[in-house]
Amino acid sequence: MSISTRASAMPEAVAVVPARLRRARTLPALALRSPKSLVGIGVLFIVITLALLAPVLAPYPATEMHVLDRFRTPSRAYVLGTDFYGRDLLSRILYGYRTSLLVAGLSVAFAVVVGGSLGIVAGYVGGVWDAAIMRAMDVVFAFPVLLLAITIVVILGPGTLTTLLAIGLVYVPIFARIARGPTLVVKEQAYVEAAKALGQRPLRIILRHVAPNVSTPIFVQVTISLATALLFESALSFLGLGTQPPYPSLGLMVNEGRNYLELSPWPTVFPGAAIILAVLGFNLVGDALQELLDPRLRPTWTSS
Amino acid sequence: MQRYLIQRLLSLVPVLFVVSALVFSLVHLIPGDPAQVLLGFENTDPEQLARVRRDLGLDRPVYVQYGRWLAKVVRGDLGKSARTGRPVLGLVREALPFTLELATYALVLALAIAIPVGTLAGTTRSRLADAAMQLLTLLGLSLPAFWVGTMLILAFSVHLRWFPVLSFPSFAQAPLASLWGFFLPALTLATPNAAAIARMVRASLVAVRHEEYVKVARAKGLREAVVVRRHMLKNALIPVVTLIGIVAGYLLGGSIVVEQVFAIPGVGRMGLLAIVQRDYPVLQAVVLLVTFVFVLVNLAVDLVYVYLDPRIRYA
Repeated sequence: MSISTRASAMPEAVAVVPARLRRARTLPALALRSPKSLVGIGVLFIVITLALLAPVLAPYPATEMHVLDRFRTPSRAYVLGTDFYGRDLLSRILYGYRTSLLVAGLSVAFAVVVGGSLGIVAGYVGGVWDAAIMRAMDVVFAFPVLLLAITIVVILGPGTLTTLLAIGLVYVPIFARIARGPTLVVKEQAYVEAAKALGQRPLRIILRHVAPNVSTPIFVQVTISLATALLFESALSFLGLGTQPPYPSLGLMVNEGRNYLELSPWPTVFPGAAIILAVLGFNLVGDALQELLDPRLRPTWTSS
Repeated sequence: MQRYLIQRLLSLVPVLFVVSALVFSLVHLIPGDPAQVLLGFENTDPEQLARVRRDLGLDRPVYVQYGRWLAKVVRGDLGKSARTGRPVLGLVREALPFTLELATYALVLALAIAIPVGTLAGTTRSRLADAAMQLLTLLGLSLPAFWVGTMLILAFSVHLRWFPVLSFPSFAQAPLASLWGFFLPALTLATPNAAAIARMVRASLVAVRHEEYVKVARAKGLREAVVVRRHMLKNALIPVVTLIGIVAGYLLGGSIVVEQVFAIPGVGRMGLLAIVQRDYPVLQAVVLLVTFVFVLVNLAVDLVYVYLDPRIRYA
């Protein structure tokens, strides 16, 4: 399991938008300037396209068994080989990507909406609400994340939807913390004062003035969280707590494959490599964005 | 210092309350009669069922039930396994050493890899070397532990036969054999954490690079190695200590996966088996114990941090 609360090790108020960013106008536009993130975006483009086009690209249905073709090595008929049941590995990986990316994407979206709102409200309203919300978030941080996710899955019963909820809930505090810091800074700004003086309602001020200004650090965290959520989803399905067989999921494929390692390593090797590729794509983009926003992280001896 | 200590200890109260409340409510949240959940779904002896119901006090208000349960837990009575009927405390006691050795070993390995790599990346004048190490650590963060473990088994246990499979002697009885047997699992668990720590060490070294005291040390004519070790690392490693608290969570959580891959009979595997067998008293104990250890480690980290950074002590 990798580091998903990397954000929590960062100082809370990383609000102020650097000058470079203002010139580039938007973060995605800025991301296109870094070679690292370009590679990452390229990788992600391929992975997401493969997932979206799975029904078109997959040579066989993901659960179709070819009993006579078990444990085939990569060949013309089966590009990546077959597994114990003679199922085509390429088709299963393509559909596995769909499940994994969907779960990762929706769980992070859930965490952004819930956690982001909680963090902005905590920061904007302050006082008792702030203390109550943030202490509640601290309590969630008191659990090892994987253990908490597993506990949630046990209560709700294993499955794809539960995995999504479990990962989403576990990530809520991360986004609450990240949204709160910049909110504290933004709410003291003159334009917020002005909006208040004009008699705008708090909800409008939050949506129109605060939320856009805290979106930058959240966007960076989203890319990193997508990487860890993918790892999370695959770990849960590896443990048998995520997507249930016979539906393809990359983690589950590794788990099924490892019982027959000596017969054929491919059913284990390829799904793992597929996970790494997608995770690395998100990590490359996230890392590049972090560097762009925090010049201290940039390659050594260049800025000095 | 005293005030900070008291504050920090008081902050544990709500955390421990929520953790215990969640573990307590686990049996109530799972669909079905809590007494049946605790006894195991195969056991339908009405007499035993009635006894468990009485023990739980299901006819009393929930807070009374919670109080009773907590009083038992504090006395070390975690109930009996729904499968084997053995006291859960004994089971946990048998499994815990495996998990603790695995996690500690992984932490040591992670630091042993991360500090040199991070130092090199943070102090090298070669942009290429720095970029290469950045990419390498990014790859490390992208590896699923269950896959790395499986690949290590395939390469070193199945093909090369260098490492034994399923051999985990205790460190106290056979230290060398134990370090050998636990090496692959510990390395698996260490990998992503080593990558994260190395990045932190690098970032933190880059941040102190232009500090006045580093310039002074250089101006004094100290050798570069001494400047790095005595002046830069000493300060740069302080924030890394806080990361160890977070890393502890990943080690404890990750050990569930790694124990499963290597079939280590530790707490994580016990918990997972309990889920499959619906042995909820055991699962309760595992969640409670692992979280408790995690909370304690974080407390220790915070206290060490205060000791290392006098600014907090006197704030």
